[in-house]
Amino acid sequence: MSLLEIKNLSVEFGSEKNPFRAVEGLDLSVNQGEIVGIVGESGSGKSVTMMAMMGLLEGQGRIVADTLQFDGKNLLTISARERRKIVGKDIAMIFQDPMTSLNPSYTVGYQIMEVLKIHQGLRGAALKQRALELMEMVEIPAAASRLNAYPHQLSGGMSQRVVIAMAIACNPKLLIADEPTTALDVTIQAQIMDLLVNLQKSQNMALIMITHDLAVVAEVAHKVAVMYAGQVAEMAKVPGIFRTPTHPYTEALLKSIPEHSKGAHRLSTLPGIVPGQYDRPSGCLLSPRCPYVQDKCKAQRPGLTAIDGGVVRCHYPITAKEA
Amino acid sequence: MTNANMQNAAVPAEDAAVNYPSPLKEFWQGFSYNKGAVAGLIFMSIVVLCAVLAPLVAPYSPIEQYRDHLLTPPAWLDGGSSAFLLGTDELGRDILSRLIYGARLSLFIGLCSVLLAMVPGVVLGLLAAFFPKVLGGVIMRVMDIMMALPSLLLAVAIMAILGPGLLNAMIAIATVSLPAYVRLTRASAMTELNRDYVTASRVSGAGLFRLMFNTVLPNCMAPLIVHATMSFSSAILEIAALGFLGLGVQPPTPEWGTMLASARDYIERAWWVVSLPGLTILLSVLAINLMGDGLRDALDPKLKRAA
Amino acid sequence: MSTVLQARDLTRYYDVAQGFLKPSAQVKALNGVSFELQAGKTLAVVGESGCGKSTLARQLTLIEPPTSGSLLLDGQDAAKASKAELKAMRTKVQMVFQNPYASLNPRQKIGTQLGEPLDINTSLSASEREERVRAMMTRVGLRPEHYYRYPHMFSGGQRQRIAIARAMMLNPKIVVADEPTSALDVSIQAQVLNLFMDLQEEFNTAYVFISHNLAVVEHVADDLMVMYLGRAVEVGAKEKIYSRPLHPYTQALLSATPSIHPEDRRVKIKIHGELPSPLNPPSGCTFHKRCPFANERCQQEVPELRALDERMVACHHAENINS
Repeated sequence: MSLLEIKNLSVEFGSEKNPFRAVEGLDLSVNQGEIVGIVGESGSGKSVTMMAMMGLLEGQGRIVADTLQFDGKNLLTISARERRKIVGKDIAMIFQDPMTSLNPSYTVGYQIMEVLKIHQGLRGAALKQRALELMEMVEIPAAASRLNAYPHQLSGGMSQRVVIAMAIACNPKLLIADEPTTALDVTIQAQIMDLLVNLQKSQNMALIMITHDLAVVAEVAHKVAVMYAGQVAEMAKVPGIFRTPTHPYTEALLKSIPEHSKGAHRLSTLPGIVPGQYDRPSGCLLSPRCPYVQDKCKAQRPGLTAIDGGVVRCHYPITAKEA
Repeated sequence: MTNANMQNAAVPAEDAAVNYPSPLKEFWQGFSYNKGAVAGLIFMSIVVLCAVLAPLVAPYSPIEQYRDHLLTPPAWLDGGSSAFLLGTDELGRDILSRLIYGARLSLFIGLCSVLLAMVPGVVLGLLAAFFPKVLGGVIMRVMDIMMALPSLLLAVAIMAILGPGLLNAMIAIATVSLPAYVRLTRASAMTELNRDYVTASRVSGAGLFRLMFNTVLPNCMAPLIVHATMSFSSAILEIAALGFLGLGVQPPTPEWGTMLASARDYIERAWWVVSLPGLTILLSVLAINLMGDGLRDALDPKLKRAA
Repeated sequence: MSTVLQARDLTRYYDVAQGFLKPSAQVKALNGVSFELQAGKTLAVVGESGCGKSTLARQLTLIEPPTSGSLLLDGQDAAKASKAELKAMRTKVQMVFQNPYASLNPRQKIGTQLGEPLDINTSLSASEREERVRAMMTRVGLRPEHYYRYPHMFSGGQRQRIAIARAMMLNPKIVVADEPTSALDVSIQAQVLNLFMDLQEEFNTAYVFISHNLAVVEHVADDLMVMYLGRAVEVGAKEKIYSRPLHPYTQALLSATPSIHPEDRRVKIKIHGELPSPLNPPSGCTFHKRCPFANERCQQEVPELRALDERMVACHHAENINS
């Protein structure tokens, strides 16, 4: 039984008549203690998926799914009140920009304690003690004095540590990190990644890493889902997915990072851009850009097929072709 | 996720026919999308037309006094007469005619005092933004001093120096509303100045004038246009106040604000004498403000709906 | 091979107000940087926030004069140039910015924006300008029919192409690119990097490529300058530095860069702590507080750049660390 089970999740925005499907038929399962990477370009629906799951899209998007289960509870049917008990406590999230995810008007200590008050009912000395403990867990030096600091007095790396401290305050079972290091400097990025992975191990959390940086997930994730235009193009284990990608999009993404073309003058690129709301092709969503496109791809949308250790959404997966 | 929308906007047009409307047509498309703005435009067109063609449209002369018909109510009320559609005032002058002729002066005053305040205000504001250290400091302190004085008092003081008269009244009103334009321009120019596109323009060798008026100013226009439409109305009211003190428009010249001010003694006996000019001012101001909204939308390509 | 850009001991200090009645402090944003750039070559400037990269870009593009030091552009000294000469020199250095959403004037049609440099610096007629603009648009992979469009109608990648086209309009000797791909998706990044490489080949433009992404830098650079807190800590040929970084900071940066394939990953060198504030830099070697090899000498004595193993490095212990 996996911790998080999503089957056939779709999220629609816009009017009933002219909907825009930001996420389409998404399957994802995350086990306890697992690190799953979700990789995709902007507009591929990776953040929307997570927002939908946590019920943060209420009133904006229409969410349809066969299964949306977290820790044995059906997130589709529970009341908003019950969901609030889960989200923020058992599921916590870290956002990209630490500077905007902290309230600038309150000290960081107050903000951490606020979370503890609401979800764990701590008061008085125990509250302060736990806040300090959390600050130390995320390796903030001179934690006691930093409790009284305002967010603008902290650097980006420090602020992100505070955000992480708030996220793990209630010992969540699942931590979702949405581009947690994109806004940070390289050496600080490495520190934060280390911290996240260490916390994940020590707390035995599941960790979902949303990122556009393939290299980051390649280093830490157990399993990677590559998203394209709202669909999972391929999901497989690491490092297999990076050694032998089966979906042409995964392959193209890997080829387009400079690391792949060392010494080459030009990088290999995928022409065109991600299809938008009005120009989704009727066949495979990648078909206008795919180098291996066949007639069938233009006519028919592929479903997910199981391959060695994962799934792929392609009529002609690459390994099959080469075999 | 915001990127998704951007891309959506850009992609479908890739294949669309590449016919670009003329700037004027494009402007009209943006403007006409706003229904309220179109209504405002229609109303203002009628008012302007009436003002221009006043001698043809108005049934009577605005200053002729019909002594037999003092304070006649509008035609649809008891005791009203179809000869005077909107009634007459305390001296027996036809209110409709006075309103039509008054539009000439009121609109002219509004427009002039807005322009008199806006043009120097924008220039000063841009200068203050471009030279923040010395010149900017001096300009802003002077503006602070001006804002520290009660506006009507300042206007009266200026009138006292310049002497009474319509032009002087407009200068006084423009001076009073100057600081708001300077502050507004400076604030938005300062934020724009930090943007990369300004640096890019600098790198390609743009001089001060081009940077100020070509690069930065168009991006600061939105709040300025809105403020200009708002101050149009307060200019009409302020000129009325000055007129009341005997410093602005002199009776019997018809002007909305003066009409409003001079008739306030009759508010209990003959409400129309006060209400009709007031209503006219209200509707015109509303129409101008609606137009201002539409203008802002039409002039701002960022807000335009992508085709 | 001709030298198009020569910087000697460039420094730039800023005065920062410290508050009421306190003397203003001085930030040494750029503290003695020297390098040379050959025509058609790329110098990559690498460093984290506060290292002086952006200040350097402002000096090179002649937006701001340096506090001291000299800048020779195409053999001409910027400090000694008259106003008219300076204007002519400005056309030789152009810039591409990081954020394609902020670097284009939202109120101007892109045709007008691209034509602006020509309008200012040449006496071409309007129709000649339009012709040149359309040609350049085609060259960078935009449709010339989009001449009358506003920037908001383009995607991030397309906008960056427009920004590049604007920089290339005057056929400059040098283009300063400030993190030009960091706001773009991976596959778009590859397209834009290819465009940079193609244009360099065609026009023999020299690039100063400012970036914190070492994978991208490895792809584009010929030479590399690693900066830390306003100083260059290691300068040399890319191959030399990537194959054997000598400065501990370079080593840390390289090891902090994640990589897809385990065999490419370097031994992780952890450096602790935050980036120091440029307002209050550490004494001696500015890196000593984070450096694993620091000793007393590093706290007191500022290391000078010196030649070692075919590159320049500023570290007291470069030999000992790497022997």
